[in-house]
Amino acid sequence: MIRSRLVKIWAYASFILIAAIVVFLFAFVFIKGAGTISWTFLTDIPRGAVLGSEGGILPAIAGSFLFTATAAVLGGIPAITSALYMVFFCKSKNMGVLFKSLIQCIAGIPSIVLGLFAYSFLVKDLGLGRCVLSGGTALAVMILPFIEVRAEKAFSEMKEQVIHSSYALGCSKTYTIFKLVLPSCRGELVSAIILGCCYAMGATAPLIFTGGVAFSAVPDSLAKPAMALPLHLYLLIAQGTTSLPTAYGTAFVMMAILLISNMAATLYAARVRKK
Amino acid sequence: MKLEVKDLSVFYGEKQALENITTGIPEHMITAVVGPSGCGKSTFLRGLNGLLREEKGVTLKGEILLDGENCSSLSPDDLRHKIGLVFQTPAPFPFSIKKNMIYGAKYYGLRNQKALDRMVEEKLTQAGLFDEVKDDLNKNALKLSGGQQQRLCIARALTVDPEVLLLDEPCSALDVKSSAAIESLLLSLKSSLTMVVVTHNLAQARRIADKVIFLYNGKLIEEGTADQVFDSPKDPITKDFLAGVFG
Repeated sequence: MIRSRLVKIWAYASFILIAAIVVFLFAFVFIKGAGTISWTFLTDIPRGAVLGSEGGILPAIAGSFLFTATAAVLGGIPAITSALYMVFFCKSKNMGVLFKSLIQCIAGIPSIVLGLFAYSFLVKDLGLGRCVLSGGTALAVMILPFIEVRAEKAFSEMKEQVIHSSYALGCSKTYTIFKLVLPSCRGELVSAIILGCCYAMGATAPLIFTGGVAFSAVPDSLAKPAMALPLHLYLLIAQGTTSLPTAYGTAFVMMAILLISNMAATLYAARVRKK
Repeated sequence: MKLEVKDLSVFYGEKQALENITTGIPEHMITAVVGPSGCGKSTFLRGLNGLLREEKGVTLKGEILLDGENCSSLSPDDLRHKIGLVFQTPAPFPFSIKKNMIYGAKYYGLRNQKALDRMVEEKLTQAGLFDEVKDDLNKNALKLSGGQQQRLCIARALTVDPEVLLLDEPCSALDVKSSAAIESLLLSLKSSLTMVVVTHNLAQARRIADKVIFLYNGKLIEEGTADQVFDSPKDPITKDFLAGVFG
């Protein structure tokens, strides 16, 4: 009796602690950064003697979206097809275990190592140079297992009888996947990709050597380097107190984008489920 | 015979689920497969349309002939096109009623919107569901009642014009009224379709079946017309089963 009450108290305390950390973190960044947020800050390029201490972060916002979109396409598509393979095509148990281990292995690679790999392989060996494509590819590898695990869960949670009902009509596996499985799981898939994008958007290490730069215009091609919000934030903090207000402003924008994306993912998944 | 089963054996890994089943399914009749839980009724049904081959670790032996042609010579998709299956629990696709109905037809190349609409109306009417849903064809099928969902699944199975329809305990998840609706639907389909119904409900088998197959521990113990099997069973195991000694 006492033990179960203690467990209950522990559970409630943990929940309150987590909620408090999240609220404090967001409130801290939003309060500190709110003063910097203005139309100019969102639409201007970084300026000032210490770069970024004045002006805005438009190229970093645009760059972040471009890096993330590249990662979503390059990471999302193989992640979903891998999950389809695991659930619908992999008949060998050993193959399944091996594939799962590989996915876990990718998930365990430190992001700075991914950055180093992308630098040496894509930037140097393949000669792509430091650009959005190189950075986006490093991010894609990073988010691939994140999306794969969620997609695999969504596919395997589909009722077997629903899938077999499609086979029972004589429909092929390919038709079943494209016309039944993917449309049925679109809520979970879109949500997984958005959350993967949030993960990619917050990553700094894979971009340092591969495509992220301290200053550039809004990129108009995947073959050019670009600024990114987390890298810009890192550089602003590294420059010292002069650029601290714009650092908080940048953090504000990043947190707002992540918060809105998270909420959009949750709402979309809930809306699709309700339909 | 529409379907002939010769020495059908099914193994789940090492475990044998069906042992040398030999029987025939007469055309344009309802054949009921009865037997206690775990006797292999559903396995038998899934073996008939090859759906068992989709499951991991399953081995099938023996022959199944459809109109004299060996089913193994047909591709799995062709076989399932000809032999449809409706499951125990209603399994509508998570789309609208209309989308459920046109799903199979579109696969077979029917694209004309008017033809699709006609087909939806015809098959839903056949399944006795059209009048209940005609004003709401865009409603999500998951919002229908259990009985309506099951009739939708039968209607959906009819959209691809199968020659044989297999039904795995189609009424077990339904109330008495919905079960009665399904039974009368099956009887009305008899003139155009050969059906095999797995059921644990002996009263239902007696009401709708022309032929009854009794399975026990993966073996075919007895078969015959419904009257023969229910009124004068020959095998003592069948007698015990019908007397309710086990079930």
